[in-house]
Amino acid sequence: MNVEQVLFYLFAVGAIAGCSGVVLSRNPINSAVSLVAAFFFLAGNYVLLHANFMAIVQILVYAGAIMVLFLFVLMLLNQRDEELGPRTFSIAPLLGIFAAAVVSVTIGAGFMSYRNATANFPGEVPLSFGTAEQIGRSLMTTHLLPFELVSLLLLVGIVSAVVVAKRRL
Amino acid sequence: MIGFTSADLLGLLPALLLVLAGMAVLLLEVFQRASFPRTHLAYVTALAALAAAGVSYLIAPAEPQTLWGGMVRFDALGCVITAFTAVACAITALGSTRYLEELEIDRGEYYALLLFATAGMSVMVSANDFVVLFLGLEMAAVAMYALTAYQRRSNLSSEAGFKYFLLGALGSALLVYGVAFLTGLTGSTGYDEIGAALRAPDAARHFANPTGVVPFLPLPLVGMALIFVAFLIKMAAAPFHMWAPDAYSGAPTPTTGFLSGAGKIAGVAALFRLFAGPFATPDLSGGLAGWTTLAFFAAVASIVVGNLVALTQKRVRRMLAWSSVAHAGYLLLALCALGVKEAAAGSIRAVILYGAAYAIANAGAFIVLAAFGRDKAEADTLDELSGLGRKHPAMGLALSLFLISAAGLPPAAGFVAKLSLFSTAFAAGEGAATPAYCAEMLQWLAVGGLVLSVAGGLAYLRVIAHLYGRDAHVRVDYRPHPATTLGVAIAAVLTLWMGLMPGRVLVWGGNVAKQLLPAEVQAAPAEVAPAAPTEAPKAIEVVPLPTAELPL
Amino acid sequence: MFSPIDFAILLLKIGVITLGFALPIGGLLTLYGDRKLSALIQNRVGPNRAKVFGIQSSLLSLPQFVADGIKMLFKEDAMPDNADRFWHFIAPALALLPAITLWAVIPFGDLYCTGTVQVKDYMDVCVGGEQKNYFSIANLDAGLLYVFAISSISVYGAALAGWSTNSKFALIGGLRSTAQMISYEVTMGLSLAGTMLIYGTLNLNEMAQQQGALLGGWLPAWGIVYQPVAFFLFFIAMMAETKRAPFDVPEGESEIVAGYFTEFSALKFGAIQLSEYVGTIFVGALVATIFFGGWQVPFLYGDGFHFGSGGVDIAVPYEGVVALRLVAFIAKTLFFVLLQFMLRWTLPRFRYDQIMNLGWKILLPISIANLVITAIIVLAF
Repeated sequence: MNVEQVLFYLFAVGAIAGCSGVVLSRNPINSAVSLVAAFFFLAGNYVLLHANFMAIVQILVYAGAIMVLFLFVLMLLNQRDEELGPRTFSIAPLLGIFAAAVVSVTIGAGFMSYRNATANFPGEVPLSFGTAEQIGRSLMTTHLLPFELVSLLLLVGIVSAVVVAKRRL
Repeated sequence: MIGFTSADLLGLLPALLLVLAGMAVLLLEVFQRASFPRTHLAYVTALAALAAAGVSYLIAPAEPQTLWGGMVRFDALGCVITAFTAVACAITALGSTRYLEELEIDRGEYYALLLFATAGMSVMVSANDFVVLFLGLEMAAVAMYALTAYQRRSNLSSEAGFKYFLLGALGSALLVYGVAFLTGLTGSTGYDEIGAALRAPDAARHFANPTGVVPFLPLPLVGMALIFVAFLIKMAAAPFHMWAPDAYSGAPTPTTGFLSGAGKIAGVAALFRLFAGPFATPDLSGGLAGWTTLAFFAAVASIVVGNLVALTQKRVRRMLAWSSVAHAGYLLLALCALGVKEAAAGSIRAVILYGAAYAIANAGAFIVLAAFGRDKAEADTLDELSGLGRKHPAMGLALSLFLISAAGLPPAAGFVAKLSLFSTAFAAGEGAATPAYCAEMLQWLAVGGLVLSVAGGLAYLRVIAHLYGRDAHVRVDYRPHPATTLGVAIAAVLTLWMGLMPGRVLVWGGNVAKQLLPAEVQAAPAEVAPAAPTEAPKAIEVVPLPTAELPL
Repeated sequence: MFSPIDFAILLLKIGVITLGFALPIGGLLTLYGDRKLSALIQNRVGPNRAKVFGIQSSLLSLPQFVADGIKMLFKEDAMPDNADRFWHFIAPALALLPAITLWAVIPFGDLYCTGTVQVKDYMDVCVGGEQKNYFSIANLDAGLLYVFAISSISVYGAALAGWSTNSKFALIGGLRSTAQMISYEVTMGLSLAGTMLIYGTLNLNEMAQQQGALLGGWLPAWGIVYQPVAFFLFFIAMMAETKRAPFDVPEGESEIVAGYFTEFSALKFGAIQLSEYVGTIFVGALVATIFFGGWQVPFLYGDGFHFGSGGVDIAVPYEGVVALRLVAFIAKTLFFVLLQFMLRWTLPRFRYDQIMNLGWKILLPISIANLVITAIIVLAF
């Protein structure tokens, strides 16, 4: 294993652990922070893929903005462990784990067929790959329409949020 | 460097018009005193929506074009669906004026969100790239969540919006997850590129079981299934329908018709574009991904659940919500038929007619319901509707017409639509579908669907019986408004027109089919010649991919 | 791809910049600045008595400085009964970590040229050698975005510190700091968007290099010349981000004891305090880099001073140039640190609603206007 592989497994295991933490922890704050950790590990994997810009934006937007707001709301609610009620046994998580296992095995088996495939992998990427310049250029040329649509989507989101949340319009 | 041409803009002109109108409404709202009624905004909205519908009729291209560097497909499907959703939007806007005033939620954002939702649907139907599809879908969805929760003082409405939002978010997540599979395998988000990659000669490796022991899902199939399930959630088709009755009965009444009608036909149209395009085998034999199987089971479940539960409902809006699940099932039935080469063109025509009839009649029915009510609530139970047909003949007649259309009886549009749908499904059963059991099942489904639609029809007829058969014994106010009358009139005229003279809509559907389906399929006769049942279905060898069946 | 020597240099750089620069100065300011500099600015005397080994003298208050540090080390690390033990333990580290990590992209000097340096159009050109990155830990292409990203996660320290202690004061402080930081982050990003347009790069070292140009042959083309409005917006936003006066409602003593770190003591308290002061120094360094030429000394280029005569007026050896630049950068940084200190010990604390109004209703619209106008000008020329 070279350094890149070691890092990949480190980040991948970290990301999975973080995501598991989101689901498994009872305290919502722990869940939120686990998710932040998972975002960091994902960003690490982006760096390994030479997507440096994506990695930074991932941290900036998800960890730095969205999850902070989540945390803010969770802190406002400030639900303590005791308020969540006694731990009860329920069959639902077991069924969920069973379903997840079945899906993981079948999909994982599907992934196995690409173990030795090389056809789709570009190998070396140009040095400009993943830089802010290149992403900006593609947003302004090939992906102009989605870029503009995102701005519209944000407008709709803002209007919707105000409509739903504001006490008096 | 400018990344687009005027042709690119022209192709999205209807959506652009809707978006600009939405922004104009938002700006007009800013300069409005709080107490001033927003009727004029309703008229602006309706005018813009009708203009968008007209524009999409006028600019409909003779040949499908690909715009925005492959991101948008500008063809008859997009234009027709945009036109009908925009008309539904206009009807809804016209029917909302008095209702919003009554509930003290009369604000311009309502109309802006309606317009944005319609624009989102238009973009989503025209998308030729998963990124655009997702953005259009989200734009429509986010606007619709807000519309559902628009009655902020009502807990019911908030709950409805929240449920809709949670399930919708789940659907969006599944969609993106599915797209991630396909993009990872093919290196592109474009429909054309994905379709080409999945049909390429070397694509068989996606479907070969590497271990030979562990049962596995080919990854393209996983992606398609996830995308399909996402659409089922968005369309409220069984088994992913559980949010629909609550969301539809909590939302402001006029919007319910829009959400359930226009939302569904936009979703199913996007599905048609996907399954006639990137996910189709060259001969549309339905083999690839076995998605006919998925559509088949979803259709069965939706039709059974929707119709039967609708029968038991006491409240009209809940009844309509449940039967909208059944309508989603009928639309999916057409999708099953798309998987059969001989019936593909017919299924597209049927779905256009059915979708148009359903969207318009549904919007009309809900705005009529919104016109009756008392104490900031709408007339909802059968008791409250008793005798209204006699007291208010015009409105009662219109509501009856819409319900008759939904039940699939002449002379309304629903009759022709159901007729063409079931005949297509039956014809598809004659064709050579793979997996083979689908053929036979489709025929049974058509028969069963017909029987169940009678059951569903009873639910509608019961409402009509109450409208005319009983005396009014609960005080219910009628809230007349010229805009509402206009909206109801538009809906009624269109429903009757499509019911009595469906030729024009069928021609549009034919155009859509011609532009949507690959040339090989169009060579096949649209209507299947009856084949002797003993004759074995001719084997189709064009399939380059091993047929995968879902381990359901 | 890394040779051991490169690795050693990297470690050395990290060591010198964090342990040798940021933390000591931060510590100095934490312990000394708050005592003595504040007194100086506010025309007070401050601690002025110390008796060390029988010598009675103020000794520049240095004994107090040492005693403060020792006290902080040896105090009891108290934890409230109902605190979330894990987060109470981690939160100070979460506060300090981003504050230190931010320094990774600050260029203390230009890339070191192993060949000969020629000056062309006010730019140093390295001929016949490599450019070695000796003066910043990482010369990231997206350096400015890195700054945004890391400073955006520095909220977690304050938020979790406030939440974990299960104290109302701390919780309110944590909420206030979260709200304040996410509000001013928007202005911070938007105000710098204009400078990004002007420089056309996100790399902080390239920004500094471009500021070596002379406008009209005499005016150094520093960022403040191009983007004066952005400078004020950014400076204010960064002051709010560091949560010190006049933006110190998250820890307003008169209302909520000490805000989010009410329940922290000993080194945990020290870590949180230190993180704020390291943040203050970082603001100074960043402002110097983006708006005041970074390591540039006016008229000084790779081979000496050019005063517009077209050639070298005062020749300086390259090593001398490097040293001068290093000194210039540190001096600029410290100047802005002092400026912040003077502001904070001069102005009274804002009310909470005033902070929110200032952020959302004044700074944000101005920064958007600044961005739009800048974009139009850049497009036109």
